Amino acid sequence: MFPFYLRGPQFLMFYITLLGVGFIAAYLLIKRLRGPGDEGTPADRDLDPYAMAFLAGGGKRAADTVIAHLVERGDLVYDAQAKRLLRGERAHTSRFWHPLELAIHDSLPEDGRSIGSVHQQAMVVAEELFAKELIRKRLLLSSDERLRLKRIPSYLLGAIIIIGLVKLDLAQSWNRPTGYLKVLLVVGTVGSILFVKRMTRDTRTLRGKRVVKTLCRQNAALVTTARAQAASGLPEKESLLLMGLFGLSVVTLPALAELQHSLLHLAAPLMSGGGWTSGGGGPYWYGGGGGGSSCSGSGGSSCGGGGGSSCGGGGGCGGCGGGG
Amino acid sequence: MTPGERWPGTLGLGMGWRPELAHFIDRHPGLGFVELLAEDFEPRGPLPPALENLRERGMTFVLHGVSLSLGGAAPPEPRRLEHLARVAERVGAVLVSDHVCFVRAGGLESGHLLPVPRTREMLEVLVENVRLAREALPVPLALENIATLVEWPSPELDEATLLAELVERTDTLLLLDLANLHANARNHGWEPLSWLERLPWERLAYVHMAGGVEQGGRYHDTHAHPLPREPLELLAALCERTRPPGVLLERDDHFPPDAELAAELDAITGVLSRGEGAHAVR
Repeated sequence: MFPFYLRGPQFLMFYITLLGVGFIAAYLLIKRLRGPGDEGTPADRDLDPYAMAFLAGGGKRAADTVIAHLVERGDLVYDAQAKRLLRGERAHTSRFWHPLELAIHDSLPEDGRSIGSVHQQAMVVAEELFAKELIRKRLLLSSDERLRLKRIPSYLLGAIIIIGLVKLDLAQSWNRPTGYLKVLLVVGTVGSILFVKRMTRDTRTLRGKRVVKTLCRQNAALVTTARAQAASGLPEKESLLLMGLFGLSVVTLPALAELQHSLLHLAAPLMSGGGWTSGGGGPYWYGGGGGGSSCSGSGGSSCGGGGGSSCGGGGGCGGCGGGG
Repeated sequence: MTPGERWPGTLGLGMGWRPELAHFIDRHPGLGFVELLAEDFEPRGPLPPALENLRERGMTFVLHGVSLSLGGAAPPEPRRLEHLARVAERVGAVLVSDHVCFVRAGGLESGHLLPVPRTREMLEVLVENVRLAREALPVPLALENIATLVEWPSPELDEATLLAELVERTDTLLLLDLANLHANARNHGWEPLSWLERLPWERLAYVHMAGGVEQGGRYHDTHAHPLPREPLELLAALCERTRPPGVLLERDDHFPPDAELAAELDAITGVLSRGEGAHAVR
């Protein structure tokens, strides 16, 4: 029966083609299973900064952002030696406190808690606060959709692997050489597992990805300024947006230096809903290791770093032979 | 070419684009153009997204160079001209500018804008160099006056006359730096208003404004301090004589809070509005 009666080299060619077609089909299926690719309504895009952080980088990003923001504001104090977070004075009693900020701040005992534990709690609270709403807005996949996202391409690629195994069994029973087929099967199986894992790790819908991409593009100037080490002058709202969308690694604030170091080394355990930021780094779609970086290339520029000068070829403009 | 034929005419209010100011520029309403430092950009590859956003929104870009060394004894280096031309094309600049100065000689880079001797002989050198530059560039070239702490002895021309003759003979535009004019007036005892009178206003492309500081009995054009009153007064005096097509605020260091920068831009706008009012009455 075709294709099992194809001779060795023909079957190998057929099987390589089949694997290629399988990967392309799986890719298209995954894309389709991610739902609508539009930008949604303005209401769908109207997210508070922490929800935006959750959408951009999962529970870890939201947790990083809330902890960094509370420390920057002075409502939490970070003891870098003990790696513990303590309650600050809570001087900002009259201001608006986001439920995520309140949950983290008010749950701290007098002697504080380890940063890992607070971070873990923040991820759980962020998941509770934002996941349902983001799923309702079709920005995140529901648990059923996530399951389908993993299963359907796995079944497809799995079927192709099974075809290879059947042929292997037949070939061995006919005493035919099977070395190349075995190699192909190992490569195909490992490739399929890695492919499905990588392609389904991000559990946002196409709309969710597009919304984040748009927000990153719209705020590209923010990260350019932050990378030029001028983040300290940013208003609170912009500072939150920066950390939420682009991650802590783009923010260089002296008050946060030790905290950032600790947060970047916290691994994010896989969790439902917020689990697309597996590992300690930021979301892979920004190529951000170690805590997440920015939307690709947003801040990077071909421009020389800050303080460009008008003096011939560099240097400050004052006190030199001439100022331009 | 007459400037009117190739020059777009109106730039409005502008700001020197620096990475530190990217967010401020992105959000500040009313900016019509930004000036990019030519040496910071490569001729190939995508623009930084922050600049792409500005371009999509219709912001006008002008390109400002600091390394042509138009006042050098040697002609401007072809590779620098090529770079400037390609970057101007890449960013879609409507205008390129550089300074009337020299920055290198005998293989040495000064790292600063140095004044040229104001002699007839020097003027001939400048005219030749500027012509070469103009021919190599795809967009009009504007020439800027610099601030200097030292002067060459026995000048045959005053700076305004030298500038005026240079732009007329080379058919180029004028980038008038009022902060530099103030610095020179303060440090060398020039009379800025009569200096202004000697310029060909129809060739004015835009105006530079920047802050500086008094130190050691001299005024330093630092681009790192608040915009003082005097350049604004010079702008007002300029507006009495002509409508500047554009006015640009430069800030290169010690970046202040957004509100402070916005206030400086507002002060410039205020002067321009009063000037517009005066022109309308006439």
